[in-house]
Amino acid sequence: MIQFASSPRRQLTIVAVILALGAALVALTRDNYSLLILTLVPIWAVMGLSWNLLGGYLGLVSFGQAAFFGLGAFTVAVLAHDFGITPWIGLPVATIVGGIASLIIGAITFRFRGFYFALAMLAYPLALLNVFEWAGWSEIAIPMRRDAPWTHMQFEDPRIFAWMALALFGVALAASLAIERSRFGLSLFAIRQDEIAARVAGIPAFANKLKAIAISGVLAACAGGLYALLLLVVTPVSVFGMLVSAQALIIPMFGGRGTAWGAAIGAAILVPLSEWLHGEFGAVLPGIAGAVFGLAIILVVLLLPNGIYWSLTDWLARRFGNAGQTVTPILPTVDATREESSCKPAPGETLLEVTGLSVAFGGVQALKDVTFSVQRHEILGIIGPNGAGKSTLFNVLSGLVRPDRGQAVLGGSMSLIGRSPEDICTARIGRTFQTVRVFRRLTLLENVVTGAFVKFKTDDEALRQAWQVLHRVGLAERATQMGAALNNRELRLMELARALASDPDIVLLDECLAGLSAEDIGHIIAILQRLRAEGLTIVIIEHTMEAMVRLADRIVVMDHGTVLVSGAPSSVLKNPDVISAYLGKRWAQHAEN
Amino acid sequence: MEEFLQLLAAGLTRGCVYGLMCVGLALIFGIMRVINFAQGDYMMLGMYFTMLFTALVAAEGSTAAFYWAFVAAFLSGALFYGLGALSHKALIGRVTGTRVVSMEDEGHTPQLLLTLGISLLLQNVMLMFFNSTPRSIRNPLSGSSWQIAVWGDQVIIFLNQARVLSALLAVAITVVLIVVMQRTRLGRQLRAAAYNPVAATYVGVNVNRAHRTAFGLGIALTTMAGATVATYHPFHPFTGFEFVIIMYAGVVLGGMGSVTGAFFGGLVIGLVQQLSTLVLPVQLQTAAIFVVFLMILIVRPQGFFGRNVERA
Amino acid sequence: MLKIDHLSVAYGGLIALRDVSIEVCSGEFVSVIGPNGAGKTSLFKAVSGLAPIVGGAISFDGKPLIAVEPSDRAHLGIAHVPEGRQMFGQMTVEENLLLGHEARGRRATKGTDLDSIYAFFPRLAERRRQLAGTLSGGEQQMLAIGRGLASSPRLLMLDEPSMGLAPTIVDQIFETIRKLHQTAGLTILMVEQRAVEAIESCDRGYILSSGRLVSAGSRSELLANQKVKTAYLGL
Repeated sequence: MIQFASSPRRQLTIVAVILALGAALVALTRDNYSLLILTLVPIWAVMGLSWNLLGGYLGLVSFGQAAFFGLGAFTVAVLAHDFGITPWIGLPVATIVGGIASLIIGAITFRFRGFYFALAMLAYPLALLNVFEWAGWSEIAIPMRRDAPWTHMQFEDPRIFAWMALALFGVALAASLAIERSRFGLSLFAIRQDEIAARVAGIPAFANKLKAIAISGVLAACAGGLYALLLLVVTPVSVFGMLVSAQALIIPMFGGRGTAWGAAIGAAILVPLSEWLHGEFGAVLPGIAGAVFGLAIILVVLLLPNGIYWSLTDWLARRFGNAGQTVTPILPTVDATREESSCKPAPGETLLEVTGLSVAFGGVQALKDVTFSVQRHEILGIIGPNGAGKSTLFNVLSGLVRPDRGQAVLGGSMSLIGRSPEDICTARIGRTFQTVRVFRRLTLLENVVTGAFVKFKTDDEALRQAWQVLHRVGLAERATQMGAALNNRELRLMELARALASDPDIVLLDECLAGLSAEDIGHIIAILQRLRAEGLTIVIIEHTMEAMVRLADRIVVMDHGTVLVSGAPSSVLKNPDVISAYLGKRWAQHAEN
Repeated sequence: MEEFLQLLAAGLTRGCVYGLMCVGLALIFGIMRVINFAQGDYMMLGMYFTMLFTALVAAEGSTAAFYWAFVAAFLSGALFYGLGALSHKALIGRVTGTRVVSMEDEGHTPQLLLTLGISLLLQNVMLMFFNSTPRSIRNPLSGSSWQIAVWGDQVIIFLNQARVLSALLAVAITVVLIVVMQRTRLGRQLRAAAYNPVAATYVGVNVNRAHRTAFGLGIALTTMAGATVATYHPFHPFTGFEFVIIMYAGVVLGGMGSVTGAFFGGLVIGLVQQLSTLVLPVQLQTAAIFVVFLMILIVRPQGFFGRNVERA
Repeated sequence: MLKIDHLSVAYGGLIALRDVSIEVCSGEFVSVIGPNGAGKTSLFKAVSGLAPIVGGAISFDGKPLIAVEPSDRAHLGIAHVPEGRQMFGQMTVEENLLLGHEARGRRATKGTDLDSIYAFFPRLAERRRQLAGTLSGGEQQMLAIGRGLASSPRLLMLDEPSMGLAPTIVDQIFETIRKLHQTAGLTILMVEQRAVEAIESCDRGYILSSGRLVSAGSRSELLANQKVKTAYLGL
């Protein structure tokens, strides 16, 4: 579970205790069958953790973990069998192979969304299965080396394998927990909840995804390598087969998705269960293990959609009533005021120059030759009836839509056209959305701090910035509330805060006053005016006319994708073209009668 | 040349049957936007049903068994329509349809996982009852072929009778379905529910019921295809999985959501599978399909034949 | 015929409608106007059963709608012509109309059939086999209205028929709507952003702003009402 920047001590203690208990259990066990199970549990837990990186943190369901598992297993096996290379070298090589394969697969497959991703990931292990069988590697046995067993990782005492598996599990668990505490984990989670919002806040989505799949691949390959050493025979079906991917998926889903503990719980329950079923009934009812797994998935999806861990913590929270989540530490004193902008504001200096922007979507001309400029330190209002193209304009300026023609130049030199949303955020332009894009399962503070990552490179600095920004918008007391629990006013302010967290020069606000009471509107207007005094340039789309008149220095009126007129608010609103755009041509006539 | 034509013929006959399988899947995906992992496993159930039914009504190994098998294929369509609708009502419907439009990622993950669970359950339950020995409906016609002479006895192509009949049946059923989709009220309602569930509700279409019908139909169609396959291809509890990849590749190739496209997609996959043996070793057939599948996803994810139904 | 009683609609924390009461009697043409974000579409969605109602009630012909499935409301005679037209773009004009026609449910089959729709909208007749998605904006709007009419509705609900259309087309559309009301005596509830056209066409109207009813009155009352201008332009 994501707990940004929380203290590692408690978690590491739990990990240490689990490992110690496990090691002791192994030490006391003598029969080979139980030891086999005790070895398989941590190996599958590692597979679960590997899946969790993609399917839990990133929310990308992967059916292809078997690809890395199998590659790891075969690397170790083939190196030992064909080249006599010891697994002490073979395992690290397997890990590297898994990492490289995952990067290649990720680079190809991350362009797909949702189910296309799942289908594509499904294809890889099965294709590999086919290829390996064809290549003649239908059964690779790791040769026995009685001459130097230890140099070839062939231990007489099967407990050693169990301890190795436990050690790998410990490393994987600690790493996953560390990720959950880091900005990397928070970024992944943000990408999962709303990739667009994350990118606009400056989080590079593709790079983060590659990092995640690399770690996933490395873990899976390592698990596969150990598996090969355990079973001593590797066949394509046993390591590339569907059952491997399915198990890698069921274990974390059953135990608890999106949290490292889930993989451990899932493996600890399901692996012994399936082995026991197989052992007891396998002869009479072949496939009982698979049937029970299938049933388990169905029940989990319908009843405990997020797995045992979450259902348990929810139940405990209801029963014992406490917050449950670890509270992110509050920094002692925060300076609520901000230093004056270091740049001397040149009066009337043009910060952003937009010329001739045109965009058409499937026959509809959304923007037609839009031209205007944004002066430094001004509040520029953009108004227009529904469907005028205002949000489309913002989408172009923030890199979400590519225009067919036209230019947008920042600071006289940098073109915004063709840049990714992350780049534009780095160029110090922030934005909010018409429908607030909140990361529902993160706290307010976590929602905001994601915006700080692009500029503040250490977690402490990022948190400090987030707190400062929350104070500036007046939301500091609500910092630990879940995104889903915020009301409309808080949501709007949250998005503003997230945009401010990246320390932008310009913010693009898309109807941030919609649905608010008059009092709340006044409150936000005061905040915006103060922000401008502190050096921010604001471009704001709004419908609430009174607010616009109070707030904006200049107004640009759009209708049907073009700019009708621009100028001072009072004159613009009396302009007959503007009035007829809103109220209809004949309004003036009626007014005269 | 003879080999090429032979493979072409084989590809076409296989492809038609794949086409019908894909049509069933496309119907479910196109209308409900659900990835049904268990599609192949319902089909596998249909194969066993066909075998049991045929064994009940005809002597094993007789010619009559062959024709009864085709009767069973039709019956299985009806039976599995019901089973599919029931599955939807009890299970699938809980994680799809209007209920989930506002959920995170539109509820795709629960759908994927639920159908995966059903798939595992079906496969392994059948394994428990029937073990993994491949079964088939043995009859003289499975092995017999018609001989077609091309260019006046220069080239002779063998067309397996069972395969050809299956292909013809598949084409016939697909045509009927397309007519239903394009000309009837039911078809209009299903398409409306697919294109725009909200607007469909405004014109009185019960979207959830439409989904149930679509699911049942989709299962029925794929099962009928599979039942005919049972007359010439041995099957076992995990057969479904072998075909699922083919089905998905065909549906994606044809353009997800297009029924006609899916048929042609399946046809192309059949052709690719057979013709690829000209240049690739037989065992790599499946890998070849995967590569094609990936290429399509990369180069043209909206497919080739059908119209793009993707929402935003 | 339609009675909306102290209706409140909220999407999570966002309150879209607050205590709104609107009534439409048989044969009337009622307009609801207001700037964007006023909650107009939420109003219609609530009548059609697709919006989360947190307070109040809606009844049709005296019977509460809460018990009626959203897809059955069309069968009752409520035709909802949605905002942005919401065509089935990949189906032909004729198929779109047929869908509307088939929404009649158990009501009398006599009355509007497709021929009379084509008579009213000759442009649609010319293009009956054309894909709806290839029609121009104005033609699509006519098709949307035609689709609603094809179900022989008792109440026709029009959601922002002018949206995204060029001014001359807008005039045509409103002209058509007025004709429908006058010749067929159709009961119409229309929600619009364009104040003038909406008020000119109606018998009675309401002004909605930020989810609340700001004003109500007859056509002439509204034309003289300053509150309209304030709601839109804040002056």
